[in-house]
Amino acid sequence: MTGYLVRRLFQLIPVALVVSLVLFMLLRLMPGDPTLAILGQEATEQDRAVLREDLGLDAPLWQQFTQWLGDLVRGDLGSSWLTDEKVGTVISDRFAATVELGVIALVFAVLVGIPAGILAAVRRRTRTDTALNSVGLLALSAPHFYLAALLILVFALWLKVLPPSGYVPFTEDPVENLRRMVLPAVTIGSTIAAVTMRQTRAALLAAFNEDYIRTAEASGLSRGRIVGVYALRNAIVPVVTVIALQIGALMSATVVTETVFTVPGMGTLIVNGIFSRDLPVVQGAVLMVVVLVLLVNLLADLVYAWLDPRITY
Amino acid sequence: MPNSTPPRIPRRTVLAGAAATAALATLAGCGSSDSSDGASGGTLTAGFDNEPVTLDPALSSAISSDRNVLNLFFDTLLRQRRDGTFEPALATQWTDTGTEITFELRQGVKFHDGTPFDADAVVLNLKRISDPATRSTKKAALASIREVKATGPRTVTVTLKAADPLLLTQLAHEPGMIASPTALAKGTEGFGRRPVGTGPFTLRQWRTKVQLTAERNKTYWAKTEEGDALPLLDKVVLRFVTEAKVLRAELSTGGVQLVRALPPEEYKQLADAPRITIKDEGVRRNYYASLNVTKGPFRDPQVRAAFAMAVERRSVGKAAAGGDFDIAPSFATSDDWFYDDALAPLPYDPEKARATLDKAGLRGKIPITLVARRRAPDPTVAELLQSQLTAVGFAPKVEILEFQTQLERMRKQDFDAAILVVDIPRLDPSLTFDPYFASDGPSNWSGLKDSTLDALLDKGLSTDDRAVRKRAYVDVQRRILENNYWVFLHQAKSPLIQSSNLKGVGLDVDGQWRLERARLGS
Repeated sequence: MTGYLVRRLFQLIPVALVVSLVLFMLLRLMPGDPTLAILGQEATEQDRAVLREDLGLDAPLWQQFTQWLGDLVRGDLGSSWLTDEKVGTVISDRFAATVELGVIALVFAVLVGIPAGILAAVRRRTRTDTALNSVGLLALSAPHFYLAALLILVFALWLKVLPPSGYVPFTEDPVENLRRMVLPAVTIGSTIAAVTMRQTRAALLAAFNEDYIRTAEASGLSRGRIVGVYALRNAIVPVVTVIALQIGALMSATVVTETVFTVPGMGTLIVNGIFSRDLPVVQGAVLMVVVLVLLVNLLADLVYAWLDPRITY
Repeated sequence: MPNSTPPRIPRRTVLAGAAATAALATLAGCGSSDSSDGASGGTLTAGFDNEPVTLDPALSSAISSDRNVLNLFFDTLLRQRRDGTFEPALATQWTDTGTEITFELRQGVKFHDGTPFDADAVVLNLKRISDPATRSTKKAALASIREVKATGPRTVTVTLKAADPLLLTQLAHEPGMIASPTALAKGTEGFGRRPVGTGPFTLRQWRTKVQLTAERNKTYWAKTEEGDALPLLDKVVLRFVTEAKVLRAELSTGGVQLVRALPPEEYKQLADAPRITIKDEGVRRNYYASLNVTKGPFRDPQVRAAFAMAVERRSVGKAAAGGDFDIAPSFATSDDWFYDDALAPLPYDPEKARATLDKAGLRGKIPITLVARRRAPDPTVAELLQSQLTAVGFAPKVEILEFQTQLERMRKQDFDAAILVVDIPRLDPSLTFDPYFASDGPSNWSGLKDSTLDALLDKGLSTDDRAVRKRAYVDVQRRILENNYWVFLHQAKSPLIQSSNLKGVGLDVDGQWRLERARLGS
């Protein structure tokens, strides 16, 4: 197990390196001029040239990349071109909001998705099943920006039960923090909940056809015990895989959702970084997200072993 | 009042009579300020869509929107009223000989960190802007200054290289904001995040992309006419919300009481909302199409004329600004002193446009590229122009681009026509016209090299005689229109949108907020 873990962790390095290189090149291919956001639209070309030199933009690309990589190895992600703040500091400031948002969204997805999936499977081909599937399909196909606007309209403007946007740190006011996290978390979580529901339903239906379920039924075990203990335990592994795969989708969903609800997380950081061509921030932030997604996938692999004793590493 | 000539800027006047009492009484009353009713205090929460990158006025890069925030923390030596005249602020009086300005400074003023405000602080701040090592974005604004000297503990003398009709205007805004020397001495890196001035509010907390909280400066030097302490609000919270729909929702639910700007499709939905006031304060968003004269079909003045005649500006305004717009010949609004309603662009005449293209020897479909920004309502403007231009014989290809990409294309003159918007009015017509139309202007998208136009622009800056300046800027506009370098589209209204119980929001010449007299009534 330890050996496996160490091996997997080492495998992260080449992946992160390749991602960094591709990202570095892609960002430099983007049209636009970073000096525009820093000096404004009306600065002279001369001032821009001086600043570009300061930022090291006149050096060849490979040199810029090796410089960045060298700093990274020393634990330095560089400084924001725009605000001069350390990228590491900026990311650590923003990470909490995104992680909190992601965790709440996941909890929502699991708490809604799995029971809904069980219900749909147990009541397959009934009106409940059709209704749940229709809602799931809707949640899957509604774009996040649309869903966000819809939730604001219903819960903030019509029912007036939740604030339309904003963020308060958990440490400052936990209740207000959660009130403001509900709508963005539901926006992001709805897609994952729908995916989870469909996966749970399909996996359970498959499990219901297995011999051990027939045996359990023949032994006179209660329906609840059969579904909850025997079938679900076996059906849950693919569900966990799907949820883990959704973490990547979740991170991309935060980009739009955080912007709409003005949550100061990694999503807004990346979006604003791209719009202002603050490339060190984008580079650092995306790298962190990539590492996070890889780590979560590793965690999912470890959870399989816990859920299914037949899996060993 | 399109043709009225407002009073000449009293530059050379010796303002010896501007006693401190008068200064206190009139200060900050630049906007709508009635001060009789309502309770003072309270927290104003404003929605702000354009978070500043820095709060160091020497490094601020937004053309004017940062000033909404900077005005909370910083004062200037003098202030400019909305009619263009000046009134005392940190300087109680000043004398101006044309090449030398002497400021007498206010006594007893302290920076937020307790540092006393004096002549040395002013000298340090003005020199800091001019110092190349500062890399100030405001350096050009003070380029006419030869020397700044403290000629007494409360006297500062500014010697100029040549007369500069714009200098007092500049000193009344970002380039003239005075920061604490003690705070600056700690290093300018952190100063942009922790501004320390003498302004009506002090910075409590700035959480990037979330909000900025400012608290009442309890020792602020200015008072109301009744002698009450300013500012009136206890706290100002600026919430950085970029989505227009969310800003509208926040206004509707009372989450914010004031917003910087909302597009027409959003604020129109608030028209019947109770407790929300929408007031036109003369601020406009002026859409334009800049034509590339360096290459392609628009090198030919006749083809540019055909473009101008093909465009029906009213229908563009109706679609893009929901009908809330003005039509004006250029960047000037009808309230501006350099407006002349005798100026007129070529009238909409598709038949003549087609005939003009024929005369220019261009038959068949003339391919042109239109670049526009990916942000409502710019794509709508572009699509309408596309259909109007197609009708007269152009074959426009519309490219909707992200802002940075569009600006890069425009700076490289990689387009035929570019659609964008300018917020007007600016502080002075030179700041509106020079960047876009001077040969060396940083935003000379069209690639103009017109020595006649350059000479007219120079003339506008050669004197402070407003009659002469008006003539110059009217000639500038005429020259642009005659040559159809740009086709000015509609001027969309950008009203002040706020809760009805918020009173006393003052405005700069260009519509940026001054909140020291703002208060929340019942």
